[in-house]
Amino acid sequence: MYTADMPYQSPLHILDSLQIQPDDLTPVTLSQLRKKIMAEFNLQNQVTITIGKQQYTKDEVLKAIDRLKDIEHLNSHSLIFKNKPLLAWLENPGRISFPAQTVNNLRWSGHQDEFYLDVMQEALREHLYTLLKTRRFRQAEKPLETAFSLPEYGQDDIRVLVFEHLYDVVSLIGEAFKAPDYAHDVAVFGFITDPAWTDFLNNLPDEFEGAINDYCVKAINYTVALQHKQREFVYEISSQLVQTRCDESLKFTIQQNHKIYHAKYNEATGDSGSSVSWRTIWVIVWLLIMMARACT
Amino acid sequence: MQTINFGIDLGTTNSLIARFTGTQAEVFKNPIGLKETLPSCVAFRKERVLVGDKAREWLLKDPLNVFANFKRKMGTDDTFWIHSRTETITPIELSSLVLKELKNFIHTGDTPESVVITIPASFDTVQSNATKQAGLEAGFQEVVLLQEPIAASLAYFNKYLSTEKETGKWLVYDLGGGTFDVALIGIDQNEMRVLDHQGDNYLGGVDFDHSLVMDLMVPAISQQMNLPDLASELLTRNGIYEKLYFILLLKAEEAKKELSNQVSTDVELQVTDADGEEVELLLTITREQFNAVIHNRVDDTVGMLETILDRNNLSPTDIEEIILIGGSTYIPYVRNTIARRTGIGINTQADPTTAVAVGAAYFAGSTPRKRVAMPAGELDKGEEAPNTIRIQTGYNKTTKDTEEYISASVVNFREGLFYRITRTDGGFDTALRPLTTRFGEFVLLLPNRINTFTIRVFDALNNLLPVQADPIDITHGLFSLYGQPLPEDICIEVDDLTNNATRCELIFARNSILPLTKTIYREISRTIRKNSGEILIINLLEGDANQHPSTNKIVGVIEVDSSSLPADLVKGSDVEIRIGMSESRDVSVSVHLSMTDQQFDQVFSPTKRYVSLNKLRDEMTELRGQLELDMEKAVRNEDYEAAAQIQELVDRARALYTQVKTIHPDTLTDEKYQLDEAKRKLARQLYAHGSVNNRVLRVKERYYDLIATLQNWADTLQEVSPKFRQEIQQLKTTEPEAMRGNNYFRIEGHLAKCRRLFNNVILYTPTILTHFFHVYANFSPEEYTDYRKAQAEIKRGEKALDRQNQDELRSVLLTLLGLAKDTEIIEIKIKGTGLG
Repeated sequence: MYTADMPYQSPLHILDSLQIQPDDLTPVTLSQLRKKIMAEFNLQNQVTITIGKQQYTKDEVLKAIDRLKDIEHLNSHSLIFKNKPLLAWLENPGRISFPAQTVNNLRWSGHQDEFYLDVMQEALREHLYTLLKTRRFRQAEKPLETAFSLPEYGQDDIRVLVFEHLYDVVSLIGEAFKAPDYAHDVAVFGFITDPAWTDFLNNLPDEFEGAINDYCVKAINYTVALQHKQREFVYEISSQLVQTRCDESLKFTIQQNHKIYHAKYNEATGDSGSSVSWRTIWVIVWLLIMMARACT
Repeated sequence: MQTINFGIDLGTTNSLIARFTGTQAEVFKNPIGLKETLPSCVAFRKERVLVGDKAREWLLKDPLNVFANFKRKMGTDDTFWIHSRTETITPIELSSLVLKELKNFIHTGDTPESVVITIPASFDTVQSNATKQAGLEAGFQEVVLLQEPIAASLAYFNKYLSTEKETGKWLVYDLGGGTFDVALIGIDQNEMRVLDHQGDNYLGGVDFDHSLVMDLMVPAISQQMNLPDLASELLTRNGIYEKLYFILLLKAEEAKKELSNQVSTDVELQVTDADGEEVELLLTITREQFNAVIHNRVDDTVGMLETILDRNNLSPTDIEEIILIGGSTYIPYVRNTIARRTGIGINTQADPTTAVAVGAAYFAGSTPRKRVAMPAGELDKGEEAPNTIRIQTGYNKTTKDTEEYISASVVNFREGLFYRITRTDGGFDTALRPLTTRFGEFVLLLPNRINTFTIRVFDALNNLLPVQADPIDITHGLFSLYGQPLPEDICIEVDDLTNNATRCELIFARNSILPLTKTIYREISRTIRKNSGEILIINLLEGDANQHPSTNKIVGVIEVDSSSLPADLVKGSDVEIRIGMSESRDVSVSVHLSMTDQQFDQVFSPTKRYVSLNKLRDEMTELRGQLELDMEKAVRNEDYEAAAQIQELVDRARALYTQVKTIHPDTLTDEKYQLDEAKRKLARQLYAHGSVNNRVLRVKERYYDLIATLQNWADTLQEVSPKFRQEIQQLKTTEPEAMRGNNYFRIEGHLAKCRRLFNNVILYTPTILTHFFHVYANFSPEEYTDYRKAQAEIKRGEKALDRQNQDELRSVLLTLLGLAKDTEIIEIKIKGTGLG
């Protein structure tokens, strides 16, 4: 199972409280900083105190000050610290939107040493992990683009992450193929009917071709198995498969199947005897509920 | 800022109370007898309760109604039976009686509501909670716990450390009546820190007494009086010789003390024989005999001391001195053994009896009291009007520096005013400064005295305004501690699906400064369906996070039953866990399940730990069985080095098993807790050294294979990138540390790093990538799960090779890896916790 390492934490936050500039770090300023913060703990008598926008325990403060005693990569820390949107994202890559513009600007400004790239790679990994896990494929476009523009050695973790994700999806569909269960399957991998998923696959580098082909094979098998029971779901999957960049021979099969599913889908919706879709009915019910609530 | 000021050493044999006076600590004396110590002994005589010396005197007359050494039962479910009252009493209640008695020592008219009480550093959370509970039951409103070696260090360094030796590392060796602690103390730039500590809750003077009784006195009495069952009868509650045991203990303690000054001592006894006749006996015990019965335990203490040195990569030359604390350090054999085995100079300057209480008072003198919320309308009763400006301050009460910071906050703040901080001697003055809701100043201190500062507030016309401000006294010349360290790692148990086991996930690392709080995010490791009968377990443990969860102690458990779920908890869904630990080690846990939006909150402050003898027997049987199995395999494989290692563990396991099997459920001693602790230690060793077939060796082998290959590539292939070369070097540099101690989880972590680098080197070094592609291309059809697909990939790979397209070749290799049958298949056999 993937587990994210600790996200980046700037050691410089702590300097805010004494308005110390990184260049002014000396044993005396650090001693003063510690005294000031410990006095604050004594005043507040709380487990944590707020420094800048962050909460610190006494232990975290003491460790942060210890780290400042022999800090390395001060320039990179300083560069990141001054760039607040970037700092916020690097410290919370699983929770904050990717600051694409800022990252791009930095990339072209030439301020990219090895330390910065390592931090960036770690954050991208966690950010992408969260996005893929929560199926936010559209939002993954920019960070993926950035990830694959990192130096070669920095891309490997991201590649592994994407490969693992693809294999997870393939195995989920493979399992579902053995005993299709529409309600369960929609909940687990219904996202494959979303054009964002297709775009995500199509934007992956060539080396993912094999994995994408695997996915297509599993999805084709699944649609074949379920074609008579859930025509709409099968049609929606097939519609996206048609758009997916994959092996030519698979493409042919996908297109042939899609024609059949398309016909069956039209037939099914015609047989229902009603031109009103379930979605429309649901919207009407929802409107009625809202109106009833408004009346009360 | 008001500080606690009162410190109590609640010892196994003696207790003391002391107060911080501003510049030093004063130990209060018992108004009766004027001794500083109060024996931790309670006697029940009809309606009267006697505590201290009087209770101890009563021990010889009526031992069944007199209780001592109950500190060692703190945190257990053991109770004491009071014969005269036909009722039971808990160790907490007995301790609270001692604490109440100590309050009577205070002759200054103070009635402290807050107090610092010391505990052994190795007290676990349950034992700590029990001690705090005793303090609350004794009537204190606030109880802050302090670890004994820290208290002892504060006492020593504040009183004895000469100014020219204010940088370095010391070891504080504290062998008390019932417990042993050793702490590594570092002093740098006027700052004192507890760097590490180690201890044993069941190792102290009373164990020496017990050994004297059981190994020397009882065999002699048995022989002289022809009482073959004396040993077993002696230790059984309600047995015919129960009373004699306590008398012998008292005699043994006296003999032990005498043997510190002379080479032999005589013990006079009156024992009732089989016919009910009183017989007078005289036993002679020599110092040599005494040394022989205590040497194993003393060796254990030195072993722990060496562990600390080893863990911190220190040699004896890095240590200034070993400071001896605790009554048992008077024993010559203890002093000689420490000096001989470590080669470090020992220091006996600190008063072993009072040091802990004095240190507790120093700590209390710099620890702010909790502000008690005032009831509504309370302010109006005071002299000040309700809108009077109030200034609250925070600062270091004691320091070795000549400058300190005062942080202040203003209640009932008004605009347009000014403040001024002055030292009472007039040597420091901030002059007028605009008053803000929060302000602070660095103030200068005069050396080696109390520096008193006042804060005054003026209006724009320079008129002095009435202000309610706490007095500010800062004592220069004393060390202060920023806090005390956590004695053990705090972790939660999570599933380790790769190894079909569970493992510990570190929450708070040992030696982190209390109090602590942290929020972590985990995932559900397997789908828990609603009403399936499955349980999500949040198991909070204390011990060593690098060890197997079963070797650690449970702090508390939150169980989320599937019947309480409104919907299925799907694998991969988030769990937010917030864990807090107070200075006195109360643990609060909040669990939020994002999928079902459910919150579970719990505060763990258990005061009892139950040791089930049945469970202990089962565990010992399993442990012994496992070790014997490992032994057989080692012999079969002719791995005699491993076999010798295992043999030692097997012998210990057998001895422990015999002890567990024969122990009486109503035993009067701490044996079952000692055995429980010994079992945990043995289990740890099993995981550390383990068997020849265990995972540690396999993981090590895998690591050494991989690193050797990597090194070979780096040596022979120019195209291996400098970054990879650097990473290989880093792995090799950290290798000795990772492999030390045979800790499975640490080695596995190192292997994971190595494996990651190994994969990267293969994928990004063209020659190696091509080599591995050919290896996989030559696999037989049986070696692939889907050979047709593998063939297609191999063709794609060949084309990529022709085009020199490394990206595509990488992709092919990754796909082939996925198709190869030897890829590890994870099979979930364990139930686990449900937390990944």
